[in-house]
Amino acid sequence: MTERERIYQDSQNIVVSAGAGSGKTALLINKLKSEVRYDRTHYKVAAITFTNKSANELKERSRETGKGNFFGTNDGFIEKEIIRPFIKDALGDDFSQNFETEYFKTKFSTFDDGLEILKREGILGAYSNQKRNFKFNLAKKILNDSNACRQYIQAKYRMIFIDEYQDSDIDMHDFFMFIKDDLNIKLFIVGDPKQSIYVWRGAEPQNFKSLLETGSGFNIYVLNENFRCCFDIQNYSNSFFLETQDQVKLEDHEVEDVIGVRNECSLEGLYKRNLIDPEKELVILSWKRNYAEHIANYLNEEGYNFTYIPRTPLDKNTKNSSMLIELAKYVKNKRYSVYHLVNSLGLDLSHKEISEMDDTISGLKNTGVNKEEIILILDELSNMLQINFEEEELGPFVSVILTDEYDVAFNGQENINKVMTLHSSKGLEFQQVLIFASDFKLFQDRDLNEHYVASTRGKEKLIIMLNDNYINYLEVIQSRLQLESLNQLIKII
Amino acid sequence: MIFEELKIENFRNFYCSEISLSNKNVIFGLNDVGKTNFLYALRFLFDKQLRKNGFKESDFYQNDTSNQIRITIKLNLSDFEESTDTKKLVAGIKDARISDNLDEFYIRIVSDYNESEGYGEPLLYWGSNEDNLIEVPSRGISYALDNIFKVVYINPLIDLNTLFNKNKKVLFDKSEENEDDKKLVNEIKELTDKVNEKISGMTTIKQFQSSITDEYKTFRDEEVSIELKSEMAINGFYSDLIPYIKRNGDENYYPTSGDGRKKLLSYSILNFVNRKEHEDKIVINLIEEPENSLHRSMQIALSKQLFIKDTYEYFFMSTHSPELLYEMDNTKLIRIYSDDRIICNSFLYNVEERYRNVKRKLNKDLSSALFSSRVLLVEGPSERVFFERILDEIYPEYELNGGFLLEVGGIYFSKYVDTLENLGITVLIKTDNDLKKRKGSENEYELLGINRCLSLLGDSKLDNTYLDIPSNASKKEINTILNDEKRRLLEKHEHEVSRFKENMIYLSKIDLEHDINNVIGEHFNYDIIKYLQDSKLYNMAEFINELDQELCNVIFYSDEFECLREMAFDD
Repeated sequence: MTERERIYQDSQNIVVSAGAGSGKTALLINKLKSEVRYDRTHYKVAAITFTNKSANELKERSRETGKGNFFGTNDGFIEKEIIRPFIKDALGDDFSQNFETEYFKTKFSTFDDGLEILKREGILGAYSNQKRNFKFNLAKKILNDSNACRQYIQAKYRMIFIDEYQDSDIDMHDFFMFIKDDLNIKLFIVGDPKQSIYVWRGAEPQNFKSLLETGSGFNIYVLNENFRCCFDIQNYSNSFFLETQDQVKLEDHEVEDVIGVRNECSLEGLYKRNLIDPEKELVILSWKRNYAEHIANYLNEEGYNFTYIPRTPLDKNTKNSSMLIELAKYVKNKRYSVYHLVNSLGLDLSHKEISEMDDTISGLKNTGVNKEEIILILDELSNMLQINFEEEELGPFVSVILTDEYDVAFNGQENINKVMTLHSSKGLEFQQVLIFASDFKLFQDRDLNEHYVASTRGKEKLIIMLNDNYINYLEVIQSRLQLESLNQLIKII
Repeated sequence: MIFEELKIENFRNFYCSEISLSNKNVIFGLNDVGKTNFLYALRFLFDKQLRKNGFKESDFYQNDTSNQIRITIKLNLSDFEESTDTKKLVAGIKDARISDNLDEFYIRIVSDYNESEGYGEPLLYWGSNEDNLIEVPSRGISYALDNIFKVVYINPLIDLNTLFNKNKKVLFDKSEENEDDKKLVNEIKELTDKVNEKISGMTTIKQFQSSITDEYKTFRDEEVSIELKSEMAINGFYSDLIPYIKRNGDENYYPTSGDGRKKLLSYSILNFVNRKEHEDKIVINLIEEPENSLHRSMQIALSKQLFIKDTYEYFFMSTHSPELLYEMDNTKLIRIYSDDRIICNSFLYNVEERYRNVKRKLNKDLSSALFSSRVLLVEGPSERVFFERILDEIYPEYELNGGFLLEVGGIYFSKYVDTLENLGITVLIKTDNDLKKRKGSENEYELLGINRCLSLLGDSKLDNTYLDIPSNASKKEINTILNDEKRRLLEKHEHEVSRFKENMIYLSKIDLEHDINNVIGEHFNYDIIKYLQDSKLYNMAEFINELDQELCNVIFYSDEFECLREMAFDD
């Protein structure tokens, strides 16, 4: 039996450590489907992850799983299933279930302060300390204090699937362990300890790693085969981590797909030497935004055709950012209709409502539309959908609509050649990827995770613009793995 | 989940009734309208199909639409840990429950009557706090409630063929066919094609086809021909399947003839479908008079299914049949009757441990009495035989008018009295003035008869009496002493005896035989006391043949047998 088949048959608490490209989301979805397929009971499952985008993907790919199962973000799950419905029951009638969320503006340092603001102002804010998570603390308190809530969650869910667990912070982890240990709900957790790049905003990959080490009542599975990256790239990225260095296979062949460029060598040179295939997409990843933009401009002046995929004003993860991004696509992309919009927002509307919505927002497409009109339209839309756009969300949206500066991020007409920042590439995959060694301070024992993410975006080819520090680091790896030559990992030219 | 109470206000012929419930409920009573309306009250709450039609003017009590219809059910959820059904409910009601009162839950439907449209919109509420219920979330005509409960209404005219055909899709789920099945399906298809080929080869068929085609063309001349096909080949062989009952050891197939078997098979199919289709819901069975067209033995079989097996976890059954109640236990008996308005009494009927081995007899006697309104409890078969004779002569319609004679036999009066009185049934008791020698003593006697009556009134027993009986006394002499004592006791406790009478407890001076002798002894030239006591039931059967109408009349109107008049005539 393969590791995957064993996972499908295991009905206990499960943690899967899955490397980049091992198809972990597919694994999660298949497991979920196999759990619900023959189930006729009233029990439901929840599948939760970190971003709206991955939540939508989960939902989209699990279509046939029937009514009542929950697909959404971590935040959405606790908000819809725990906090809003049971806040009064747990904390009293002074609290309103119609609170607003304001993670960026309303900050405080203690739980009690946060609670007080929630009670007095009806605003759910966040701790000043990025590493801590007020919302999850609150959810746990409600679960603790409200028997009705606890029984509801127990009565409804038999299994919760959590994707990207390495991105969970210490309070999320605490919450989920409570769900497992005190509510006896089965957890199915997948994650990749090497892929956490959200440490800066509180992610604590150590939680996930310690689950893998201690077991903690979970059955542990490790999936390492990488379906995305070719053999050379897998080998190369595995060689950077002590945990995976055993999986490095040293076969008797010449490395072709991981190329280190040592000397000054132009893009043209790489094309000429057939190291890059001009027919296939090439994506250049850069740590810094302005540097990425600069590269794109420079290359385009040189006669290449690169699209810089900018970080847009809407990329700030505000309350309604995912909705505004889709709305921007509707405005900027001719092939993106109101139906695409409704679909990607997961709205359940009648034909009449959809056409009403179209009538309302089509004004955004008018040439010469001005700021006041845009705000008026958003206002109408917010009435229609019962949502509240934040004051500080309006400005960025207006600037996206009124200029063409960010159009390329929305108009669906980007080139096969792109430049983007490393952080916006997470979760994406490309045929050929080029990265800069100077972006990673590996020799200072930093940026290993970021390096892993960057180096595993390419399916077929990874090109690294080397520098001395990076080469020194490679030599450390060489001696650790006792390699005869670095050529067993990377083709250096 | 436990059904606890139903309150029906201003609905049809219910003005305001609070009825205590359990998970197995039997609804009975002479009145025909009340039972069906009781089931309708539940259907309005739980059945989306019925609810969507709304309330009509005639659904309001006395057609008075200015009063609001309110139907409220109270559920007990204290079995959360053990009961999957409670979890189904808890998962479905989400935040309508509060931690301060986790064990109680209310669901209510009220009418919102619109005079100009002549239509009462049903509105649903639920919550933990009866005085502060919240709206049940809804979408269109569907309420969140409808995702939790499934009402299965089993009407008395359930039809096997309709039921079977309607549920074929569920019964034969194509997605469950395996590879071998698929192969077989194709083979069957080939065979049915062949069958049709043969059919169309028959002369009779060919002739019919051509003449009917001609006939058709006289109506409408178009390029068509009429052909006969076996339905199987057109709609697939599932369309052709019919259930047969095959007896073990018998090669023949019998059509499921006999309405009784058909009905039981229908119930089986319904159960199968519900288990398969609605496992995620709480299934409430509303069973209306299932006894129709069921032979007595089948009713008893169904009774087992209802009360012993857990096929029907929650049911509300209306019935007229005592046989269906033979196995009842842990059952709420709900008696509906009408004075000037509908009154419901309910009583949780349990067969306690000490009655366990006589459950059959207990239930059998009691279930017949439940359908009457005045029950005279008598001690044994000779009383029953004697009373039946008198009543048949003087007032043969007594049963039609709600009277009933119930023989208690070896079972305590109190079990019957409790059950019947709690259901609002008038209970009359005729009992002997027994004295019972205390075990192990020579001359100490317990006032058994009087004490029995006292305990029915909830009073404490009287002290034992001591009799001076010579050790060489004959049986006859002992009897004389005992009978004298009985007379003496009756006089001494005159006050109690008249209280008994006020409460319709009729204590004989001595016993039945002496009562008879007192009233009509002079008409006989032999000692009827001795005769009747000798071989009790046999001689009583002989004796009643000697009673003519006049003697019956004397007995019926005597002081000794006042109980008969009280039972027969409803004041």
